[in-house]
Amino acid sequence: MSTGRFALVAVMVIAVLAVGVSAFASAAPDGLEWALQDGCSTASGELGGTCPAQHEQEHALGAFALDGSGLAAGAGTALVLLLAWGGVALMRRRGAPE
Amino acid sequence: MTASVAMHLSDGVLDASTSVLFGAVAVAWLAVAAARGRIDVDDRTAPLAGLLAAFLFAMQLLNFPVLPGVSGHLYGGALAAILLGPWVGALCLSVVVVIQALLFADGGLTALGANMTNMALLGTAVGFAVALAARGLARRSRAGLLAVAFLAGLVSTVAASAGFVVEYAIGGQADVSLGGLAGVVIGVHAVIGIGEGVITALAVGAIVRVRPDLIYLVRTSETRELVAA
Repeated sequence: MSTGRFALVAVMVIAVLAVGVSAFASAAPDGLEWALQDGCSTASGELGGTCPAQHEQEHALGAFALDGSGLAAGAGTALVLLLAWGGVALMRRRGAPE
Repeated sequence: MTASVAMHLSDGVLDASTSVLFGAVAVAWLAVAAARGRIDVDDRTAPLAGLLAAFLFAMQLLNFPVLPGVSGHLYGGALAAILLGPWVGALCLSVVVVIQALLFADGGLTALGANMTNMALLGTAVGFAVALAARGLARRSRAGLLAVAFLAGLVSTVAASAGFVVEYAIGGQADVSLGGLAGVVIGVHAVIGIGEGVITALAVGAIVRVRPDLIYLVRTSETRELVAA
């Protein structure tokens, strides 16, 4: 498969994952967050007991944060693609022999 | 939806000095990766790095159920290391973690160093170490390569979670049993690691079918033989 065709297929797969499938992801806390709540109870709506999650603070940029689904997810994915591609291309240029 | 579900370490769980310490660790490691990674870069690397970073970003949005009320998601350290090598792989995953923290509020700003150390650096390094140790098996057959990818994915996820336990031992804020926390954190990530291993193997398997030359771990003339296998 040519590099161009490989990239095209990869972009299509990634777009489907980011924009289409991400909406169906599990909403349950991930393993780390779940583990950090171990020892606490959420029965009262607040974390009761003693657990690491009680010390979690609001994200400083939380008010400006993008939603991790749909078009925002697609935009984030595209941005990451460009940054990683560009950054490594820059390494290639700087590392090239004179 | 996953938008309100924090997936990476938030601010406040670790104290300030520990956050600064692992911020410094991350910066130092990235500097080494940028310097050492240059020798791994060829014409194929930049496009693959971009596509892989995008894939990892998208996959980290896709939390999958692992236990009742608990989900997991791909970390990607082993996949990045197998496809790009340990240095460029670490840089690639770092881009993902930084953008998640800055634009999506996933992972705290003061916790960025710890998150990068665990996922982008430790996960990639351990994933590569496992894959390198079993490279003979990976080069022997396609099944061998997939088995190595699975194992590297599993072990790298557990290693990343163990990294957090070490950080918490140094500067955790809550007065909890470290042994108990370690058991819960590493235990649940062992289960998540099975999913990580499966996804890593599936991704490597898909690429080896069409472009085996893109796989850093087995990038030799022998790679061609895998296509015909």
